[in-house]
Amino acid sequence: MRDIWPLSERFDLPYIRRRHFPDTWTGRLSLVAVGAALAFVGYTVFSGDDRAFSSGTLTRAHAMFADDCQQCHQPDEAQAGFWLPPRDSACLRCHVATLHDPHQSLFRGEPMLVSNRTEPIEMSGDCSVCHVEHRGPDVRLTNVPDLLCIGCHKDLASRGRQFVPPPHAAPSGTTGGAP
Amino acid sequence: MIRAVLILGVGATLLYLWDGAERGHGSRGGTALGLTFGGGALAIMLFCAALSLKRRVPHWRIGRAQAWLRGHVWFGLLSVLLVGLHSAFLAGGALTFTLWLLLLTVTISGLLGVLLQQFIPRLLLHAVPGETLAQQLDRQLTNLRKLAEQIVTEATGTVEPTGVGHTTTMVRELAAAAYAPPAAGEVNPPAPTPVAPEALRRFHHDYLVPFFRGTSAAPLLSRRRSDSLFAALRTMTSPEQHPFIDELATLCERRRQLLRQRRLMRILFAWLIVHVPLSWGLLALSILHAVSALRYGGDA
Repeated sequence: MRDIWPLSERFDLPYIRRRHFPDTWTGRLSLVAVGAALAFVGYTVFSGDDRAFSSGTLTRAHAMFADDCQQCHQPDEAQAGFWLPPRDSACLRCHVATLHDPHQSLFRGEPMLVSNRTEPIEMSGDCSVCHVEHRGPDVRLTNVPDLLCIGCHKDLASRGRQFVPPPHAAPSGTTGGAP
Repeated sequence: MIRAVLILGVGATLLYLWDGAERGHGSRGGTALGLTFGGGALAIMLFCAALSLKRRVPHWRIGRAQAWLRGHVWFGLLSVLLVGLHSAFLAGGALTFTLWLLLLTVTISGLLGVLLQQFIPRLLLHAVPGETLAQQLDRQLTNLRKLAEQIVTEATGTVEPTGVGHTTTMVRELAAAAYAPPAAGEVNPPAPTPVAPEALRRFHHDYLVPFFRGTSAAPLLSRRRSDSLFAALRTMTSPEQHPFIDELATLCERRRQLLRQRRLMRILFAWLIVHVPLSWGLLALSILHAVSALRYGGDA
């Protein structure tokens, strides 16, 4: 078969500099996709509605805070205002969480005044380590897995401590007695 | 590479199960291990996006293109697992749910692309023997049109038909007559009478021009109809013109092949229209998610 002559007309020589299918589409649509993501950020920042960032549904007990993240996520004074971790002080506004044991070395919080007391009482701290939120409406935050207890309370005899079984029912997940 | 990805995947899953058992709650995105999974997935997404940038700058000599593509596919799949382990396979809130949707769409479209890349190039090899660069298709199709005009001009002096009338109907009737089954008792049907070069010019005007202009209903798009019409044209022209007609028939076949290549190429690359933009959207939202999750205390 004959061919076009001269050779320079036979091929589209500067083709590499031009965009072809599908790049013509993907380029524009990528800009639209990234633009949509940025618009989403802009909307959430300027509207102050942080619900989209929730990592999951709150429990029923805390459902009233679902549209007000800063009830629990409060600025850390030690850091810049941008960071909003869950604060123990937010939990202690409603819940009294005294020390679990006067000898405990972990999860010790700040002393605070509790109603009907004149002296500040030391509280437990780092509530959200054991009581994990955002796991769905039917999760009971008080149901802490026994494994978390075992982390500190294993092998008590070797530490010279005597375990006294509580008067109430056995911890969940065990057949009786202590872990 | 596949082995490395498998080892990483199995190792990450075992770590996830161990961490979940240790914590009692199951692993979460905000734990050290969960953040490692999330960070790993984000790093892989950035690596996958780098393939797109590398394609735009082909003179970057950073590894072989095949290795990049394999890494893109296999580590991309690993990132889905890591995201699952990071999120404990939960949908979470609106942003994380959107991220899941985007990730699954990007992954499925990518897998479809891998499948098409395995299938269509082989099909092209057989269906389009004269395959050309996808970016040269338009130029080659234009070249074929110019060549057709050149051949008709050489054969007849001009491409413009001089006479008036409906030669299209004439050509069709002649084609039908040439291929009509012989009547009962008739051994050889009478040969149609050859007409002047006007037949070739008419044929060019009525059939070649619409075909080379890309008219969707052009009869020459069908190979069978094309064979029939060219056979009829040969019966209407003198033997001296037959080499030109053969060349024209070859050009038409070449154009049909290139059109077939263009169709297959569109199918081959159409998935990228979904895959690439959503990947960039996924990457942008993933970075946003990382910042917001750390902002709200790493318990995302």
